Amino acid sequence: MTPTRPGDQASHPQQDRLVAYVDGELDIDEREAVQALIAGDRHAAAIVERLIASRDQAEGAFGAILAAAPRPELLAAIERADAPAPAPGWRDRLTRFTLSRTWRLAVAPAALAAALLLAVTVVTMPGDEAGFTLASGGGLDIPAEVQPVLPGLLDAGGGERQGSLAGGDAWRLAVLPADIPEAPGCLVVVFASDALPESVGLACPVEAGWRVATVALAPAP
Amino acid sequence: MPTPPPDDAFRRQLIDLLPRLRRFAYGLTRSLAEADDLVQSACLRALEKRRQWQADTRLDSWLFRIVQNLWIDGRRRLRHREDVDPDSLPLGDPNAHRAAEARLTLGTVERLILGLPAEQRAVLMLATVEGMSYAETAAILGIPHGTVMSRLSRARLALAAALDETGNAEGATGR
Repeated sequence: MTPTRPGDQASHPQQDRLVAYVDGELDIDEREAVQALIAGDRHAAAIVERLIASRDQAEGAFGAILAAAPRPELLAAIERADAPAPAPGWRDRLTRFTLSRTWRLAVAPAALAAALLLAVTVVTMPGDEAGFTLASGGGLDIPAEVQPVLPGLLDAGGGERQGSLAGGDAWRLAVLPADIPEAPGCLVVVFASDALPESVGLACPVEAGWRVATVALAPAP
Repeated sequence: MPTPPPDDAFRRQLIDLLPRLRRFAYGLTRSLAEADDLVQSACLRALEKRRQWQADTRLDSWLFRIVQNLWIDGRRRLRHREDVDPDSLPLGDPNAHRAAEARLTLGTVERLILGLPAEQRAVLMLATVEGMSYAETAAILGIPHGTVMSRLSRARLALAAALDETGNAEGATGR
């Protein structure tokens, strides 16, 4: 195919606008400007005429493909397709939690413990038969200076914050949807720091705010 | 937890759109076999990710975008693996679906479209063949509106010029 180059019979300094004009993509002012151009520029008028003709041909292109039935394997695959995978559960997201490698390693045992114990927690809540501390807003083992951050993350339905403790140790707090059908609206809370035991909790909405249960602790790194 | 089967309405719309998806995919890949594979991958991806589709937006645009993204991924992999420009490969796949390819009789304008550079082909297939607006085309391809205009104008003028040449050549040979 011959490419269009400046100076080619097919090209025009305003070719973008001419094509957009043919395609009905210009506003009224631009359209009128192009119409004025065409009226006084035979080269532009000829291009527009050819553009219309080629567009009409291109619009019907590949009609044979449109008319052909899709291949049976494809229809079968669509019919057979399983339900879409559910959104990643909190366990998956926890493993993708953007902690540093050291922190990630430290949080992993806590996450595993939480995964094993969350269901029990949900079933036994409220109460401490499973040995968990259930308290309103204070069950998770988070330093007092970090606790004010938690309600905002819970109310937002999730998020992540980080900072430094008074002693200079870095901390990170994350809240993730729990995706537990039996505990709608509950969120998983993970606190990790350089100095304190990692803590994983389950926060569930109650009338007065959130009930937070600590479900797992892991040794500090 | 048991998950519900894919929504029947979604699946039905998907099947209704298959011919257009296939046509777009063919315009990109220039091979029926590859187009079918691309559409199949796109459909399965769409079913898997259908929760990401917002029901108040156009399903066809969303599906075209999936097709386009999968095609670009495939081209990147090919280029990375074989250090070749996929667009420089000969038209069609000589090793697969020969019969299907043979049944597809291309007209002059179709051959000319397939001869355009890949980026121009994609824009032309959406904006001209599919009749999408420039804004929709830009959104599907993830490129600025102005880029759609410039690519499309190059494609359309090249197509017009080539059709002229073809017409002149046929006229000169008395066909």
